Amino acid sequence: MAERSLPIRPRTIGILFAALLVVLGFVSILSGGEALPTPKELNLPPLRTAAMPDYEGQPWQPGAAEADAEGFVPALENGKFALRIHPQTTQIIVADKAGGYDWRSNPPEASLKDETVKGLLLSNLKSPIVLEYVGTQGDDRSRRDQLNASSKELRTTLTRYDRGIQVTYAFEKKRIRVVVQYELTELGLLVRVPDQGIREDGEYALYSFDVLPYFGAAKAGEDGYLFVPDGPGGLINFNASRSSLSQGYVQQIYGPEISRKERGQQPIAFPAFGVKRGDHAYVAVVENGKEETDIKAMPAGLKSSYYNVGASFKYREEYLRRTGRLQNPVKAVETDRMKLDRSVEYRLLSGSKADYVGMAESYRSRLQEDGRLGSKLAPVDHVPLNLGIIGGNSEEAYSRDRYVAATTFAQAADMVKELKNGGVDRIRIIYSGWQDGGDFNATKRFPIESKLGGKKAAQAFVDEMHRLGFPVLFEDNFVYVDVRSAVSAKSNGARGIDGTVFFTSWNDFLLKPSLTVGYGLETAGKLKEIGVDGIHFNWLGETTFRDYERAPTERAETERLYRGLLDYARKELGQAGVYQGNDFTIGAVDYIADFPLYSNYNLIVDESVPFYPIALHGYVPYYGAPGNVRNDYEREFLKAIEYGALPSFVLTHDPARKLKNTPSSYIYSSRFDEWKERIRTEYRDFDRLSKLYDQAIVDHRKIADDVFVTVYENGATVTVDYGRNTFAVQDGGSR
Amino acid sequence: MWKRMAVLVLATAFLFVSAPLPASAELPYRTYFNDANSGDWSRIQAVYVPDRTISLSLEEPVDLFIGDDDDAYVVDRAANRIVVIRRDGTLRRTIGDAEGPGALKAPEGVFAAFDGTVYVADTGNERIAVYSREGRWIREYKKPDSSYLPADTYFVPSKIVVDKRGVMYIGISGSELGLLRVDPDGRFTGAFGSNKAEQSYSNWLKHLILNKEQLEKEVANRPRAITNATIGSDGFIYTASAGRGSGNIRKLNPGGFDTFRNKALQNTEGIVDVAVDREGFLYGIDSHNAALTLYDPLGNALFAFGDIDSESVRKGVFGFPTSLAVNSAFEIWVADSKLKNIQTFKRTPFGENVLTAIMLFAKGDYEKSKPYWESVSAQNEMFNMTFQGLGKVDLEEKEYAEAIENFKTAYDVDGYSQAFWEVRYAWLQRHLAALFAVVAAACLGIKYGYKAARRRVRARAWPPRLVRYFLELKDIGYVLIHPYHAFYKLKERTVSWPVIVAILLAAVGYKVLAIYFTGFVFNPVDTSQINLPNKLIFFAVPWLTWIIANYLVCSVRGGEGRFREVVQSSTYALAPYLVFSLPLLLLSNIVVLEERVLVDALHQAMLIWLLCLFFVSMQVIHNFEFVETIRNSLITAFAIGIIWFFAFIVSGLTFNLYDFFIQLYREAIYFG
Repeated sequence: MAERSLPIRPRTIGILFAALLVVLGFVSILSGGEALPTPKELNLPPLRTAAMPDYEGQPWQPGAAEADAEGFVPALENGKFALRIHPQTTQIIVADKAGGYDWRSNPPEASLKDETVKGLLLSNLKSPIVLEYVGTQGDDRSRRDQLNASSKELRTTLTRYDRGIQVTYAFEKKRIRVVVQYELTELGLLVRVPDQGIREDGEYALYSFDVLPYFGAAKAGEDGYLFVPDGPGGLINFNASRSSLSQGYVQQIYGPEISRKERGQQPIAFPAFGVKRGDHAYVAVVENGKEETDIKAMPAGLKSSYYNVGASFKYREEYLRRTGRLQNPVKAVETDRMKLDRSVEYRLLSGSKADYVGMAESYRSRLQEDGRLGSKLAPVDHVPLNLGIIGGNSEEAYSRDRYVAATTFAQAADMVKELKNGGVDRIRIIYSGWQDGGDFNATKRFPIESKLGGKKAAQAFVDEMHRLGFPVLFEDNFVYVDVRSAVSAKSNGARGIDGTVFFTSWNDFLLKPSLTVGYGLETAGKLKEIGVDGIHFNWLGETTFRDYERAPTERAETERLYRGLLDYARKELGQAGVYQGNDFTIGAVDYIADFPLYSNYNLIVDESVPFYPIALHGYVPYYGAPGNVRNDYEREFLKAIEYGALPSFVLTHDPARKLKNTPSSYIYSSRFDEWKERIRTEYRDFDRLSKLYDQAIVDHRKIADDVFVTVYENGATVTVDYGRNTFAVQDGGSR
Repeated sequence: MWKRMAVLVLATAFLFVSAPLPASAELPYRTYFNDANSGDWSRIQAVYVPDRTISLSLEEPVDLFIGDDDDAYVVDRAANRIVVIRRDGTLRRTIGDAEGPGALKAPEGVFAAFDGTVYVADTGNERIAVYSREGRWIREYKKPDSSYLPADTYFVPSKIVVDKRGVMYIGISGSELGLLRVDPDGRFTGAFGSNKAEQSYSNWLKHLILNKEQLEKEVANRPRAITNATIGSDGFIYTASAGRGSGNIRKLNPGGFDTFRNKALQNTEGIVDVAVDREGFLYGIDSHNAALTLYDPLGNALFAFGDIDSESVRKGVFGFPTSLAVNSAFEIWVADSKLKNIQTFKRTPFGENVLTAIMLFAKGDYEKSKPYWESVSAQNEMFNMTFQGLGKVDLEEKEYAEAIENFKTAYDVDGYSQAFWEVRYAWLQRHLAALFAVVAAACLGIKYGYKAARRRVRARAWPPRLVRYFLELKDIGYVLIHPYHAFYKLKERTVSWPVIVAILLAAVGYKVLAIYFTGFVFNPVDTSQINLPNKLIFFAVPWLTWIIANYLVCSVRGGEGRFREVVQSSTYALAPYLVFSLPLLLLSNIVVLEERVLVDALHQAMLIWLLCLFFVSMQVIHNFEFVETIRNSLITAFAIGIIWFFAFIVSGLTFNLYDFFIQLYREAIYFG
């Protein structure tokens, strides 16, 4: 037997081997075909790395003769501004020559006499920098404390370089060294903190660094306000009575580290803050390292008797580290420093420009200088309505997942046609819930859900909309991944500060940004086949995070990839949209939905002002909360009119109650028949502002209690009266 | 620091589906509504939003009262004054901060009578100080001279309420006497509305076990102090007393009788203060659940919102709330001694609609409530109470079919039953004759049809196996009527497995039918959300453990039954379930609430029958005496209990083990 089987065996092996090869080949072809695109296809320019030089050179010792009465010596000067520095305290004064005003880094010594605070708080008030350090060894481990320019162990050195002056702060006991560079520009002051200038040679590490925390600080009762980037912009008045707060306004630009997101607090969307004092103001824009910067504003009475605002650069993140399952977590601080250059530009304003409108305009020109804002919008005859349509969602019923359809493609087409016949002339359709089985599965979107009609119906719908002249965008989420998706969290999930994959309270994880791009590219390719005009990217406009891999992905890199994906979708399909619209998406989006029009109910913020709307109007169209999901229909409608936002609704054909057991249950009412009348009237109202669509806002003010006026470039004004629930549009002649 | 609202825990069922929402202008708090029919809390859009923040250099606002003219009176304890604030938040005047007899010292309570007279609980001066509307000092009331007042009572008034006749109800800090009632002449007329000492089983047990000395060392079980009080426009006095248990908000009539009858209101464990609006709706602020809760006039929780955080930086989140009040426009004002401010909340248009609708609903003005319910439903289709309200309207309009649908949607059994009665009545009126005809025809049909069928079946020759199955199945009926005889018969032979399996499957099948098709009156739930495997496990487990326990116990106790016999007879003992299920199912679909007793009685009968059969089966199978059977049944029941207990313990332990491995896995997978 054995002898006879011998000649057969090699053949069997050969056949098996061939079969294996065929299978392997198939697998590789299949997986090759399904391999995700990588960000390389975006052809993005590389991210800038820390490159600001540290100007160590001959120390500059100004002569005593140059000093003025207070001891400040002239250091820098250009046509518009002059900078004087105090060699001992390192305080600075920036003189605005045309405005005739001195901006001081700290309150003058003379006015500190009646200051009630003492010790560290008082010396902070006299220092242009406040450094927070953390111990890395022994008992001091994770303990934080502050140092400032009046520290006894400090050695300061002034160095001049071609464009500016560098102040080197070396704390000799703690063995920490930081440099601050001041340069004058045509618009004001540029402050830089290069990473190359930082040394941590001892047992202490840099935790955070506040630069010019008291620049332009003012006493309670003065005329003016602090400007903070709360919602659309918020003012903290110097002369308002205040609740007793234990904290000031401290918020990280673009939101905090992912694991400590606060409920309902909308992240800061733009990196600007400012001060107005009488006829003078400045707006400061954080540029380098803005993603890891807190904006800190303090009311008088908390840390001193001054109102002050400034940028606080974060170098390490504090977190709770679990050492075991049964032990309480301990506070820990990251070991490695975020190696980022930092810079803030202070743009000084005076006269009629010295208010939040002037600040917003200055910020707008900043966006233009960076080439991010793009060109003006083309004028329109009618404003575009954003019509969100919820196709459906998945629910758990009879112990399994089941898709519930709320609007099929055919029904959606009927709805749009009815609106069009009712006088809604321009519509952008944003269709969500079209994915196979609902939008929870991050890896499986196609085929398009059959209960909605499938690919054929989708195609027909898109074609029909095109005949009407309306673009169709599909909404998708490439950021948060439901655990039900067939994708491994270990290799694809972003890691939180403790090094583990971060899960939200609803057990989703965040996709690594490069994979977000991959799935985005893949989906865009497939949607192109049916002629979709773009993608509405959920979470790209309101999210950024640092992926704490061994070699971390910085927040700036996340933003760069997201922006690249948005750009790609625009090029490939036509349009891209986001929610909230953090300013890193500006220039890569065609519109912003759920744009921040409302404040975050911070007790410290006295007034909400349309800073961000002023910066963007005429360049980027933006929409407030959909008309059917407002808390107060009339007031929020008027707010949208006041701030120049556009109309939007999110609807279903069937009753919203059908989606009661699905994740869409937060949309309490969306039935088309219920809302169509309201859409028509609201659209007609919004359309009265159609001539202002491409116009920049040039002024905004309160003219009476509850009455606000917004003025546009072409002279047109919009007056909104919240008391009487009315608004009026006055044309400003021809445009 | 963050006290999670209990409602959040209840709402977790909703949280797991509430995936990330697009970040838009969200309030610092979420609003939840309480579905009275299901008891669930779920999210809803805001009914109240933060409006104004009034600080006015307040130093320590500890009490707040809003008068009929909507002026707010704030006790600023540290500043020794009363601050009177207009409705728009501006200062009208301060009271009691001038030198003289009217100067206040650390006051804690304030009340403004309908004529504008201001009564202040001047705690530091141990008196009640009275001022005119303009803030002029009029007189004071010191500790009343009365033999009825225990001599050791300290007169440190901290809260005060005054009724229309000028009688004062004075709350004393930490006192268990309740409120001291003092007439306008300063005479003490008795303690009012004291809380009762809580009677608990642990106390009862302590009294039983501990001796006198030990008892003395125990913390005395004393009545709780009243933390706050207010008076409604109808003259009822509402008291708030924090603590575990019931009666935390009481509604006292002039006789001191609690018309809520010691009801346990939700979100009151850490009740700080209670307010009542002119429609009798209650507003409570609770430090334990960190929520402001609205109740209907009967004390049923409706909505909860707000939050407490000592580090609060946002409107709508309290630092240390001390008092709340409601004005004529239903604005809620909350005093906060940590933030040193007053925060006001106003109703949203939705809140206006929904609360007006509920108000009319509570009054029974269903017809008037209709437009409000309609606009509520236009703004929120998820809110179940709308359907209840509209159902009532339908009832009044005699639209019974719509009413049934609405009540079903709201899971309101009571309303459903009313509407169903009407529908059934109309149907019977129309179809009574036809119904009789059908029933008669069916009876005849069955009678003759059965005979004919039997004849035909007998005429044919059947395969022996089928004949056997048929005979075995027929024994089910025999078990029902002659259990002893039937079980003896069964004991003598082996029933084929297919029949046993068929009977068990039939039982499970009936259970499934019962889960999904029992009448709404008996099963008011969303059937799509039922966890079927879970239900079936709980259905099967008792039967299975009975078999195991029965076999184990009886084989030890000298029973002669073998395992197979136990299984066999226990299966046949299910006969009543098979027979009764269908009629029960049918009946449950045609009775109304008042006739529920019919179904319940039948159900009880079935259960008793089942028990009897199990008992008989045990006796017969194991050949026990009657008394022996009783004893062994009890032992079996005990054994079942033990089995379940161990299963519970083991599952608990294995869950810990399982959890340990899961955590280990997560650690290995997501960390490395």
